[in-house]
Amino acid sequence: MTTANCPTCGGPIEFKIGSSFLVVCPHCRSAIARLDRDLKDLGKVAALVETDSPLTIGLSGKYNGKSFRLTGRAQLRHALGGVWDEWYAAFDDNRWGWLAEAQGRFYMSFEEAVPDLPAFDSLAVGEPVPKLKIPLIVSEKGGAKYASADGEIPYALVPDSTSIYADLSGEHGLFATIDYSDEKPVFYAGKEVTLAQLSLDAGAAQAKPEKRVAITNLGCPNCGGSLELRAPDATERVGCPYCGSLLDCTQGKFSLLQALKKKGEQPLLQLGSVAEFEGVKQIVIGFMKRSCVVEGATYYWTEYLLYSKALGFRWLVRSDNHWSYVKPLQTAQVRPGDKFAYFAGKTFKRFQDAPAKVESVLGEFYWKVTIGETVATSDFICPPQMLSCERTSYAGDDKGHPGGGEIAWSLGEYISPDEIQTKFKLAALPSPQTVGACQPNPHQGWFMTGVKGVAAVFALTIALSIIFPSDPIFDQEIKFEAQPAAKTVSAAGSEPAVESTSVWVSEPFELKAHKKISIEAKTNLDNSWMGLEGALIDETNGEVLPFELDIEYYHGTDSDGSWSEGSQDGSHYIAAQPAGKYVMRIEGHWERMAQPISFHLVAEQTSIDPVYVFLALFWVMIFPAIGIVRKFMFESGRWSESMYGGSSSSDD
Amino acid sequence: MRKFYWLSNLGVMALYGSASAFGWGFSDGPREKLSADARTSPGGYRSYHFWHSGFRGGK
Repeated sequence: MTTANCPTCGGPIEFKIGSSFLVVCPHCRSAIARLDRDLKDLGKVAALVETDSPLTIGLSGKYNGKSFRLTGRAQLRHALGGVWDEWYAAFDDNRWGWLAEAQGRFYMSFEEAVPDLPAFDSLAVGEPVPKLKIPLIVSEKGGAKYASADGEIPYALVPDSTSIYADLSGEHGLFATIDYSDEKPVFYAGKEVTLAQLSLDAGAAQAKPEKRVAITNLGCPNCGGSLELRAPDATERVGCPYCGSLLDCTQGKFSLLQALKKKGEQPLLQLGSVAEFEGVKQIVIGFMKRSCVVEGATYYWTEYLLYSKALGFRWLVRSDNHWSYVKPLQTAQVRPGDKFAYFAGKTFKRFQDAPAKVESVLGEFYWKVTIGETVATSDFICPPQMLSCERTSYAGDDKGHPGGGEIAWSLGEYISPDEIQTKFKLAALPSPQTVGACQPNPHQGWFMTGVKGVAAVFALTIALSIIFPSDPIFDQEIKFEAQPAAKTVSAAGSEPAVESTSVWVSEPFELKAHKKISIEAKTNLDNSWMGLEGALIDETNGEVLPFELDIEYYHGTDSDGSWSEGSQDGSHYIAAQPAGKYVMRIEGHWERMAQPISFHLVAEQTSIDPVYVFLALFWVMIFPAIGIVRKFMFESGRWSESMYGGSSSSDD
Repeated sequence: MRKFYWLSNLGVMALYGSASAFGWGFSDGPREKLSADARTSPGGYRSYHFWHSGFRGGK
């Protein structure tokens, strides 16, 4: 430990860490840098804005098995508003870790020597960083001002100076920053971490006194209405719920930015109402109405900002009375393309690209939102999920802020209005009248259901044919001789002059009970017909069961090409008969009776009737067929709302 | 809907299985009685005379 006196106020200051470069004087809040031979005052820093952070200077922990202690902290103000914390962790192995804390998320990174880093201007938001061994995407680039600091810091933090940076995102939670504040850029690489991964000293963390910015119940400077802030340390803008005025909320003070002539749309979910998502109780702190213009038509939707200490910020989006719960993603978690985006092994189809404009706001927001603020958005869907990409860009200013931009991906999950109603204990919510962009298709899966039904029918048919195998009765080649014209069948009621010889009678055969009789005739008819009058004769009692078998087969060629109708084969099924001895009689008629005709006749007892198979198949397929039609109608309704309408998913 | 579908499928399968196992079929019409002449005369089944005088089958 090195002790010294502050060169500004003379008060005692301590450098507890040998490698620290700067300490903020606890007496006069001067940033005192440790030079080779003396100390230098880099300027006064403002007091820290107290937040709900679970971290505090002096807290110790372990990361990847290495012990560390938090020695300092800086607060940086984003060019678009919003403050994030940077904690400085001194590790036992003399390394310094940068622990960034923003919106309830933590990122631990370490300085790494990377030669030939690309220039700041050459980086494009959403694009990969060139020359790096590990693929990293630029998620944000811009400038931030050092607003305040405390404790021991490993570098020369100049109060009110601007840090120029590019935040990078990689797969598996990889996080990196290139710091362009100095002449030579510095590369920091690390990962998003949880508090559990930091193994913080539990006792010290719990002992931290609860501090909140005391700006609750302040009055609106426009209407005097009482405003209660629920996330005061993160709130940058407030939309007054009484008069609709937009207020700036910086360092505990409200100032009027915009007094609106009329109040905007009122929220369905009341500000301050609480519901549980992801197993965490979250409070509605903000409400925003946004719009986009697609092909000349303006579409509106509303968004509710949710806040919890454990998860930070989340969104509930209501569009055409459809709801979705939205949480942020790391840029590199999503692989975007022209028509598709890929996330977590799923393919999302591009649905909409449009600039989204803020129409009205109520409640608290963690960035400096303005009415009319517009960002470029792209939506990709894989119901029930939706990936949304918002791109923001801003110009530099004459105060040292470079121009910059940010790309933010988020994942929305469809929630039914009933679920929202239950979670928020509401009486009723308006029902959607259209198909939601990421609404799950209730008719999804009918194709596979139908396939299973068809498979069940075939499986049962195979089982039946095994359990009740066919029994052959006869297999006979039959020839009817040519018939003189006079021998054709006479008019009804009169007796023919000559007996017909076109009759065939089988040998007697035994039939088993409970089995159908299949009779199949195979002919070589060619543009002709044949009629068989059959009779199954029960020899024990002389009862006759007549049946008919008509076969015709015609074919030819016309202006449309070749055609054919009928078949050369025919079959007939007779229901099961009582067991016993039977004879089958077949009397034939055919078109060209002046010529002989022959055919093959096969009879057997069987359990399988093709008509029954067909009826069973018809039944198992009719519902899936209707379901598939309704599925495509549903998808058609969904995509009619898209600027890429006309296409539909077919991943049934 | 799908529950109803699968329940109805079970019913249809049961009906199909039973019809196949017991040989149930659509009616081919009532059995007719053949005259004793056709049954007892040699070649009676074959004879147009006996067949069509005692029983008129076919069309």
